[in-house]
Amino acid sequence: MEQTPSPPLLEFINAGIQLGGQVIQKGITFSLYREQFVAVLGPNGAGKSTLLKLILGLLKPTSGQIRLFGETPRTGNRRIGYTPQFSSLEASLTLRARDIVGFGLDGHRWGMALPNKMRAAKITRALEEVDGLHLAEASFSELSGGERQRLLIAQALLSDPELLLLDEPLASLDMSHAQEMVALVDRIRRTRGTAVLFVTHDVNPVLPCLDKVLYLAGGQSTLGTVQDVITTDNLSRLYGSRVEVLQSEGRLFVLGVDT
Amino acid sequence: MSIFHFEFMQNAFLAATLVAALGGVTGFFLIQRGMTFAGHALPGIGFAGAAGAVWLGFSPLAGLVVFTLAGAGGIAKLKGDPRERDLHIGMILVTALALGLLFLSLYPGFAEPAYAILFGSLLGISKGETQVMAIGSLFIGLFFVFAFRPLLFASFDPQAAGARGVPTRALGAAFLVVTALVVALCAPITGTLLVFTLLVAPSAIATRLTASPLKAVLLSVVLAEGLVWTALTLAYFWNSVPGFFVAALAFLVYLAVRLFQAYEHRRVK
Ligand SMILES: Nc1ncnc2c1ncn2[C@@H]1O[C@H](COP(=O)(O)OP(=O)(O)OP(=O)(O)O)[C@@H](O)[C@H]1O
Ligand SMILES: [Mg+2]
Repeated sequence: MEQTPSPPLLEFINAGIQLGGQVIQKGITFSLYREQFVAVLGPNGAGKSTLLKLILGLLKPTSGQIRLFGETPRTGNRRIGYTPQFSSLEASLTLRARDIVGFGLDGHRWGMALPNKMRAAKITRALEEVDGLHLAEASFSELSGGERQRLLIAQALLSDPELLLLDEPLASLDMSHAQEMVALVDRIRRTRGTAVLFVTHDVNPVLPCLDKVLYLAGGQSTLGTVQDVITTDNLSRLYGSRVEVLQSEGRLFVLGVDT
Repeated sequence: MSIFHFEFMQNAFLAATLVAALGGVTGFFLIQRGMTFAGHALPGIGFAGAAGAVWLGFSPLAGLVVFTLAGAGGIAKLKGDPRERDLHIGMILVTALALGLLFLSLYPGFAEPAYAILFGSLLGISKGETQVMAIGSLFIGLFFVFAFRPLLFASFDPQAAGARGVPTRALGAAFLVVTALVVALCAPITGTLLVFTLLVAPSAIATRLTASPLKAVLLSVVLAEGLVWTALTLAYFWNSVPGFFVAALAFLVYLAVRLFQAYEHRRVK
């Protein structure tokens, strides 16, 4: 993946962001290429969700530049699929799974959606792709965290994105469901050639399919391979305090701070 | 003698039909957005406006419209999580009610026109008023047809909708303004006390019965129509206030649906 000849899908060039007068990130620099799987790691409040909002065009960088498909990010870009962090779903959740997935197709369009065979077929295909066909008629409120997450991914896939931005899809999943979710995302990326930015607090479930990690902490960021980034020295520098990285049975543990 | 023999009954049925349709549709979105409390507060705020207008010698309708719109504007500006938002709405409502009481006490004598807005007068609707209702309903109906999908998307997931280019804030504000207009149109008929019944009860029942948005909206409207027609008919024959029957019937239907669902649930298990 290192020598990919094609230009990067996404480029951060020394991009900084301030929110409410507070510096969230000083200078993020990294590139993301086709089919790459990159985990975005860091403690609460490090700016992971903010990073995704910058890519979505929901926020503008206060310094530096972001190039997405060679252009400045803007909202309404169908080439990105996005699932927000769960807590943003606040309203009543009585809607059917099928309708929620359908938002990904035409939820942004004015007017009403009339029943339509082609539309239904596309929704069905997206549901199949996330192994969620059996959930189609269920009401969203009855579903488990993992099932909901899969539906949101199906929704994100409906615009045939080249880049998937997933904000903590593993939140509230136990280890085996987390591994299932990661395998699902990995399969989607391989069959579709989609690049993935995967925000997570625990790197272990994503270790098997990871190309790189982007670690955010203390207003700074580093991109690199797991071996290069998740080290005692590097994390101690990012956090500005003593951090210990331990390896045991192929799993990584970061001690001394919250991740 | 036919219930439609008198013109005032014809006007009442026409106005009630429009009110029920508006309430049924608006209520569905209030529930989807988790904003039923705003639907409760706006009529109360509007009543304060009506009382103020009566005190100052204006039409209570003008006060009603101005206050509900201002209330909607204030609510649209509130940020934060829903619980905190509802706290602020509660404070706005309390302030408005205090003002309303003050205006009523300042008015020399019995502020009849203000009380008319509080309790409504379905049976005293004129032909001209039903025409205003009809035109208002048409525009509000067009808004909902136009905004249906993005409004639903933005209600479900504001972040994802925003990322897909839905102007979520503007749309949320527009929805509140429309809700304020619905309240202002309905309050003189049902009374500010009972607008809430039509805004919430039919849609609450409908969303319990179906998860499909289109079906829920239609069912909500059908239920609202059934409620007001039955209530009007009962009120006509018993020579009583329709508002009581609307609220009482709504409660009974809601109770019946919940009991039936609890029974079904146990039977399935
Ligand atoms: N609109 C805003 N105005 C001011 N500060 C904000 C705003 N939005 C976020 N912040 C702050 O920016 C920082 C980064 O927030 P962000 O949501 O990106 O963190 P995160 O890494 O996603 O954290 P988490 O793991 O909790 O999801 C936080 O300190 C937050 O309080
Ligand atoms: Mg976050």
